[in-house]
Amino acid sequence: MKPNERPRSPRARVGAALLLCVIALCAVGPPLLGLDAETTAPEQRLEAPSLAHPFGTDAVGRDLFARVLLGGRTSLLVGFAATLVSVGIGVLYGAVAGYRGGRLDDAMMRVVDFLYAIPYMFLVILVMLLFRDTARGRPLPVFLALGLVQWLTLARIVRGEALRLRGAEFVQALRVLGASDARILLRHVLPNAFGPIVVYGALTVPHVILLESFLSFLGLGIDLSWGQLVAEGVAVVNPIASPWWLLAAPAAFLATTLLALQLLGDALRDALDARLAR
Amino acid sequence: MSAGHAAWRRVLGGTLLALLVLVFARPLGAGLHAAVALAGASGLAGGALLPPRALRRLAFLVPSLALLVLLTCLLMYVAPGSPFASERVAAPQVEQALRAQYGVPRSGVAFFAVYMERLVVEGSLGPSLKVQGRSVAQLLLPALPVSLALGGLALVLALGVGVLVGVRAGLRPGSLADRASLALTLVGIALPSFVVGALLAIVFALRLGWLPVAGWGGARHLVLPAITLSLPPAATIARLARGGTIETLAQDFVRTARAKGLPERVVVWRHALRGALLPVVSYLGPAAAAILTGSFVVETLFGVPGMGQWFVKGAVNRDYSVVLGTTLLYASLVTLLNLAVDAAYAWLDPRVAEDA
Amino acid sequence: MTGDGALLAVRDLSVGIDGPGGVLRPVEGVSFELCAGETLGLVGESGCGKTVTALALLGLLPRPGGFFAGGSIRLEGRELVGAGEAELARLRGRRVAAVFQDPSASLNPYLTLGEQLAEGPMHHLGLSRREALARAEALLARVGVADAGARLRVHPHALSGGQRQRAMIAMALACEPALLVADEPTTALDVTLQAQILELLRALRAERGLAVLLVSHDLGVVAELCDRLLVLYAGRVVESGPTPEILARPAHPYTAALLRALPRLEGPTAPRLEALPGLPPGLDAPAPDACRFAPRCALVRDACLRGEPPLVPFAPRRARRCVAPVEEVR
Repeated sequence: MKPNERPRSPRARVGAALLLCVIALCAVGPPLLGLDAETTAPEQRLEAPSLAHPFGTDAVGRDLFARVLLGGRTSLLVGFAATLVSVGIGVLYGAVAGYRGGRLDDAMMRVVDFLYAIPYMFLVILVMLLFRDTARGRPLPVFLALGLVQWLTLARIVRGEALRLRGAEFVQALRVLGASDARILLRHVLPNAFGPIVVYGALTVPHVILLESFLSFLGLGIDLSWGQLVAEGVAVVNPIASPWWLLAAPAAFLATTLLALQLLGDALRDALDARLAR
Repeated sequence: MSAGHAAWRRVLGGTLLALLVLVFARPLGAGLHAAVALAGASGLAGGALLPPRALRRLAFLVPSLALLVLLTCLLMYVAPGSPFASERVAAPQVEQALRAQYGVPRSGVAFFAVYMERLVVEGSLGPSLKVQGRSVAQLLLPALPVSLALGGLALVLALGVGVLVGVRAGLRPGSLADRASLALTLVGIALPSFVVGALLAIVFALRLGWLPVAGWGGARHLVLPAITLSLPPAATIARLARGGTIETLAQDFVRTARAKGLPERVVVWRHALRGALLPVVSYLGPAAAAILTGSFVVETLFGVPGMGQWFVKGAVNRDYSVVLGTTLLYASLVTLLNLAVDAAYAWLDPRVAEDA
Repeated sequence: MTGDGALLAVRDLSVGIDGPGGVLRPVEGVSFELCAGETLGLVGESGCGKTVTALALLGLLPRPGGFFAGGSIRLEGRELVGAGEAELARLRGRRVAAVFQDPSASLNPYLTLGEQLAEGPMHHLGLSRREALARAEALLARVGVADAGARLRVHPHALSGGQRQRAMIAMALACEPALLVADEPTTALDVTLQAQILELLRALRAERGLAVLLVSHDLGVVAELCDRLLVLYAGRVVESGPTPEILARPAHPYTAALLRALPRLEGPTAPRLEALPGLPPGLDAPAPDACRFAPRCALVRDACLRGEPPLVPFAPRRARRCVAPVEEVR
């Protein structure tokens, strides 16, 4: 009878279904439908949506449907790859700090405090600006830049968990039995922190996708991502004879994906909270 | 060796200590100076005004700013290109002379030393390397109030709207206000702010003609950018305030307040609100960072002549001192806000202040 | 004892909760009376409806979805069931006040003790801040909080558990209510503190002619303080009567089982403590037309399953809801 309990909503299922639809469409759509995102057709520029071009065409006559689906591949890839990078760093860092404890832990957490004080996106933008000529439009630098700044919170979470488990009796027992630190960490400590890691990871993905769209808007993102398409769309919209589809199509896909991921992440978090409360 | 080492440490220590005050004292005028002095004074007073958490952060402030400057210097030197490489294909001697004139050595660490020395001794942010005959302070000074006004207004808006909507939603889950908060959250989560901004501009500036599309000049120019900038943090704040309100209203002490026969208004405002807003207060630091990030986008979208443009131009043109100047200003602002947030948190939750 | 003379008269009180799974009935058809200076104990397992009953006396119903489903509560002649929120708020804290189970959670962590103690008198009695604080200090001293003046300026987390409960009691008494509802006031405290708090309640009752409704699952606590008992099972009164008589000769199998589960220090033999088997029926289970205790009852017989027995008087001032012969219940 807790008053803040909402009636169970099918959020997780809706989120997962939407996400699967988007992923499937982006993954198999282009080869299956033989879509071509690059061929320009000057005679077909800025055509409104039609049967031939469901989302219309852009300023140089490229098929927007193909571009949105292929852009989705990039955006989803950025989201998941950057999240993997940040989860990897955060888990490793936090586990070592928490499990080792003592002075090393102090020092490592002090570093995290330092980094927290710096507005990280600011650094990402700086890095992307400075390396614009060499890195422009390429995915790897964006993965790294975004992944490298998202791990702080996760490092704290995992560290707390590792610190707690370090003193647990079963870990002491394992140590007495001669299990190596690496084995204890991998087989026993991390699985216990699995829930928070997954939840945090799930909520990082939409965040990263959104950040990539910021970079795209500033001309620093990846070529052919949703962020870039939306940014292009924003640049051309105006109230008179506006090619609205240039904004609407990629924005709808972006919004749907972000919502689906957020719903999924929230549902996971609630499930975890409920499990912890029990 | 050891004597040199000690001297180096003395210089560095003095540098770091003096850095903050000088940064604000010289180019930014009285307001921030007073704020810094106040923070410093209360720090010296030994935590009477500031809680230990804030004191620790204050102790962090100067070194972390210095670290950020160092980091930025190294980054800029690692990046390809240099301020003097591009347009004039100059003879090595000419470049050498320019480097000496502007104080731009060939290594990042050396540049850091030059920059810090100038900052502390002269209290100057240095000359722009690209804009002839202008100092960084001259470039940034007109842009700072613009960015401050925009960011400050956006923060106030986000806080006001977010708290109002979130608390109302939390008071009556399932009500109209709750649905409004859900809508706000969805928009904040699902749409990049530049899309929202563009749509706002189309409707209110181009269609209805109520507000200017872009540019700068008065309060009217501030409206659309500030709303755009405030939306994402407002969404998060509404969500936090809603959750906090629901959670706090379920607490036993709220039942106690009701059992005392206090009017519901007093129960909510006096007893429940503080606890309900603690998560919002903790979020203010990240909110400031989010607004800072968003300000690049929004300033670009609406053609606002704030500091964002100088940051971008500076980085693209390798105008090192402009980049460092904007970096320092941005980081100081965010850090100071974090400091204020810590103080506010301790004021709101006595357990934090009295425990530690 | 007739209804007119009593401070509080509860008749046939039913409370419902409208939830996603339908309407629950945590309290059904509860009746009792309480006079000034008297203490009534409300006893039963958790979930039996005792807290819901107690809070209903303040017009506080479970949130969300709680409502009065019937009956009447008359406090000093005023009807509470169906009264408007404003009228209820005027009585709460003023004529009827409450002390809750967990003093750490029941005091507002963000306000000083002084602020929390003073707001009641300021609101109900129109005292100035200064007057209210002076009254708060006197009350704190009365309930045994040392250095009361200084304590007014600290936040609750700076107090010990016992001091917090004393402060809660002071807060409840701040407007000189006629009725004090004490919902498990000692459960969160350790044994020595329990005794002290009970002693304090006893003294305050004598000194102020306070009527006390004491809610507890602990028969030992109830035996200390209460003149009469009301034993609740699954939202129903199953037995009522003077405390010594009930403790000596329980007349309902449920009461008897509760007593057997109670450890005793004195007495001839210390028999094995018995746990009562089974669980009380869930609130959402449709009320069967049978005795609610039947599934757990050792004395169950056909009549128990054919219809719920009525609450009938069987001796002076005693009543029970059971068809088994009184002699069989032990």
